[in-house]
Amino acid sequence: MKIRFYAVLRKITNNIEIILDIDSISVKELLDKLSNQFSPVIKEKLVEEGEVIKGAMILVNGVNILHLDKLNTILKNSDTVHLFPPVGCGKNLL
Amino acid sequence: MSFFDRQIPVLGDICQEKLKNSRVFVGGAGGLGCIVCELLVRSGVGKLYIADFDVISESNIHRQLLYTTQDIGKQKNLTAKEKLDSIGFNCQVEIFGKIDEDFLLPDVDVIVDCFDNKDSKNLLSRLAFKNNIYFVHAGVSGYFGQISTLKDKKLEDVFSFGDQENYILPYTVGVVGSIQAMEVVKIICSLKPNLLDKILCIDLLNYSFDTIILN
Repeated sequence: MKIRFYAVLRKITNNIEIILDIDSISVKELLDKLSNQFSPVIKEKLVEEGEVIKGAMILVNGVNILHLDKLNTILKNSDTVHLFPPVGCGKNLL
Repeated sequence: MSFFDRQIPVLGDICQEKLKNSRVFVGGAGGLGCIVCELLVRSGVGKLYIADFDVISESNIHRQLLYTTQDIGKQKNLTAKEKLDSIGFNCQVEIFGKIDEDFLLPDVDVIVDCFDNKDSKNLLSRLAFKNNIYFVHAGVSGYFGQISTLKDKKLEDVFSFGDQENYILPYTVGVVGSIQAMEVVKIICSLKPNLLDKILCIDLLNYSFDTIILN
């Protein structure tokens, strides 16, 4: 599975893209995994009270998960996931 | 000699004629709007509509290239028109203030989203969708920017914008605004590839440009 990070998530992970060999996990489980691997800040930037934070965007193969099964969307190993923190995160980079 | 001698060999006579007959609506005359408007006028676009109700402030000048410190306190739309008219090209510039859901959109070929807030962006996108007009969106934040063209989708179908305070670098605005203007020219002249149903993500910190195809 290809995971691409944007904006401040690139600084937090020190990566633009990573490849994980995983299958049949939910977006929520993926974010837990990434938070354990890199920093809990990843999840804090994307999820609040069990929902995608307003302004953040998670795409699976070019589709916003808000139009799929939200954080319960199940991912396949062949999927590409794009993770965008909320617009306006510029201050985190200064 | 013509104003466009250096670009016609690249774009072609037909494209230049299409630009002359084109009408473009730009929402927002801030950082992106200043760049987009100036480049479109200098490209030879025939008619430009600009909507903005804001006044020029001190913190605008570093990235809003149509304005100088002498313009602080003036209306952006009036000042932008004055500066664009002073270029001396044959582009008619018409200005509007605040727009709402009942705004009667002029007959245009492309709508350009240069607004800096989610409510105005989403409103303009709904107007474009309702009128079946190409909508060239862009957003900037820090080192990062995104550009996308939509026609049969609304902005809110794809993007989600928060209320977070935004911090902006002039370089990001320059790159993103220039690509947005290029995209408008591509749409008008039917040049491909364009960014229809794609997101071009720009990261000037890592110098990465990547395109996501929207499904």
